[in-house]
Amino acid sequence: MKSRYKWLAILVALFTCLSIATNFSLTEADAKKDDGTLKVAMEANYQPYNWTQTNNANGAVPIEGSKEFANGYDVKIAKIIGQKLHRKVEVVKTEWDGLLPALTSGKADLIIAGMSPTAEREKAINFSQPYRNSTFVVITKLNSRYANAKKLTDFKGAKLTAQQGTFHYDLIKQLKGAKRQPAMRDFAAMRQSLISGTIDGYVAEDTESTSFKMVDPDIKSIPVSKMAGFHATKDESVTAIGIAKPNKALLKSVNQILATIPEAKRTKLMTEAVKQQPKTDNNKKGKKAKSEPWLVSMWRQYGGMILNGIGMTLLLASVGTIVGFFIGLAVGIVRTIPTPTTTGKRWLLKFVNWLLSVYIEVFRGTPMMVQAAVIYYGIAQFWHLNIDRTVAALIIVSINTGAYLAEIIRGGIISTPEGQFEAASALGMTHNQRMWHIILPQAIKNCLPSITNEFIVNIKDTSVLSIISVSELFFVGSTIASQTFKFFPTYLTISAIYLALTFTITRIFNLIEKHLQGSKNYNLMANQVQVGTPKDMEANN
Amino acid sequence: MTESNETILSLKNIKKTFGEHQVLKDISFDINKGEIATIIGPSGGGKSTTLRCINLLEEPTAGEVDFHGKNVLAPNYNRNIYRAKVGMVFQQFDLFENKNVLANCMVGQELVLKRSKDEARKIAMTNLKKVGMEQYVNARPSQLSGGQQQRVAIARAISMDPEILLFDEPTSALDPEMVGEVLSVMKNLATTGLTMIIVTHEMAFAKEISDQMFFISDGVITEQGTPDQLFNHPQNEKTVKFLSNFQNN
Repeated sequence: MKSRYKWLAILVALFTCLSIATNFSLTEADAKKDDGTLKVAMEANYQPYNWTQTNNANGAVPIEGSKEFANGYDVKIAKIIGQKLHRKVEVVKTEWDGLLPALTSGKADLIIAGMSPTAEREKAINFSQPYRNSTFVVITKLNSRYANAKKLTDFKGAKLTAQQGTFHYDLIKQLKGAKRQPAMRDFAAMRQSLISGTIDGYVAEDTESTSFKMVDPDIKSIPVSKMAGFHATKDESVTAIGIAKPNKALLKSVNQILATIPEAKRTKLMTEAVKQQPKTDNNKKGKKAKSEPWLVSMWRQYGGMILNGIGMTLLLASVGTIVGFFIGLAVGIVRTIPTPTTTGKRWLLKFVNWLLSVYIEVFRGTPMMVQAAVIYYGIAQFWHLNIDRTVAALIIVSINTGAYLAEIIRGGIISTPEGQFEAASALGMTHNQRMWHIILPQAIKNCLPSITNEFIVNIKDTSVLSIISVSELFFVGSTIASQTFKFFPTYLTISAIYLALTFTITRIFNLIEKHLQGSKNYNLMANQVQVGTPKDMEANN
Repeated sequence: MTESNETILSLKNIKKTFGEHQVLKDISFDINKGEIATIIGPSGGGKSTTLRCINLLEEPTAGEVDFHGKNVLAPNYNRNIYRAKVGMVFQQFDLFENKNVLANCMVGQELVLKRSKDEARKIAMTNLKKVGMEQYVNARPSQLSGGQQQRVAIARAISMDPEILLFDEPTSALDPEMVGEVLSVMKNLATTGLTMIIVTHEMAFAKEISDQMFFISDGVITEQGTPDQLFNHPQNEKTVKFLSNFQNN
């Protein structure tokens, strides 16, 4: 019996070690917290302002908590500021909606992300002087019937969109008669939608059209800033650097530094950025790229990133399931303690049970994505505790899994036949002995299919942790997709990897289950040799 | 059937209610050391509840259970030590499904009696041999027949060296051809001087093995005495009626 559990334990341990090992260098890097670094928040996914690359070419700077690098116009500006402040620049890669929380919670010192200083944002954070002025364009396909629009009303009937949470999206209202589509997460998604024809165009800045044209010459940008009746406040047509409200000193020095960068230099930096931004293979490299299958070239460029993503996903899922299992076990045991005889203990148990059911209800009843955002940004904002995002993710998955497994294990305990409790009681075992030696081994064995299921769910559901920018498999996938613009093949590859992971894990757990189940019949001849120790053999003779 | 006059266990005015339903109205009896007592009676009369009240699987609503003259229901009485001394064999065997035959017979010894692994194994093997199951030490309960499981359950119970062994309808869940093997194990046990209280429907067996018999019906003992008194000279009309059903057996 014991050897069976040992077998299982070794397997689980091996698995965990494996996934920790792949992430080790990563967590090590996280542990080093150098106050000298200037942490700059950006999407690293908004060319040419900022993007992610796998090496440090063209003076790219490292992205915190990963082996990747960021570059772009924003990074170049950040580096000038960092140089003047004598601080090393590090990029905090964050989704667009997470930028403000990252700043206010102290996870970043600056936002340099092509962000405009709108009145609404200025309520939450301060903005520097602009570091770039831009004009607005509607980007459509060359052959679109809106390609020759001359005035705002020419967009009548056009399906237009813009990035979620930007004022670009509000600008669509000024294009009278245009059909405003739901806002999209990032430019990559809008480019893909435009090419696939689900939208007629999207509102963006001129730089977006410049960089888009480099990868796809079949698009056209129609400047709308100068069209009659178009109105955008100065705040909206510039991009500025976001700084947390209390940090007045930093705001002052950033403004002083920006004043030293002349317009000519800014234009030069932007041109550089547009040239350096990652390109899709078949555009510039021509022959050589075409002869190589896409999968191979993608693997060459992003293989390391994908492996790290797989490692992170496995780490999150396995640690989450194992820790969640122990949380669930503890909660499940407490929730099945028989009612004590003394009133004091009875009330204490009632109170604890109430707390536990609140825990289960809250974590089963809210999406993990929301929990992640609340815990990661909430803790930082209200308690000024800056948890490492990997640690935060591990905690969230564990707590979440614990809530599910608590009920599964409670069910397992309850469904263990009453006779097993009674037989153990009749031998004089204490409650703890009954639980640990008789009930729990049976309950856990019966729960194994559900635990496997939870593991599989975790492998897939950790993808929602991309909200706090944990670079697990899905996050890696969306980064690759947005840089290569190969949405379908990238996500197809990512789903194949997910399937391979879940399939393998299912098989492993099926084997374990089968092993624990044993055979239906007892073969007397085959088993006789195993009978006890030599001493027992003597006793038998 | 070595019987002394030392009272080992006595039930005093035991009452047990489940909700509104009073299952045991007033049960009192004494069991002497080495005595074999059987409890018979109609289904639902309170036989099993009486037995379960003895080792506290059911908490009596009122009354006393005295073991060596001490009330085990007293608040500071160590019930787990008492239970280790009062073994129980269940109708459904209730072997630990997660343990093999040998481990079933060892776990109680190790955990409750704190015996060493070697000692526990030795005692378990001796008792498994007694019940003829020594060849199956590595088998899991689900691999055994009902009769085999019940024999292991008996070995598990006697491995604790109990002073009293309770049997709750040990053959009722067995196929007819397996009843014999279990009864013969019990008959062998009876010769060792172990005190046994048996709830059973096997009248011939009860008649043969018992020193004392109780007829429990509607939560009271309606008749008690030697097998000869109950079977040949029943006083109570319920006993007469009940036994007439078994005349042909």
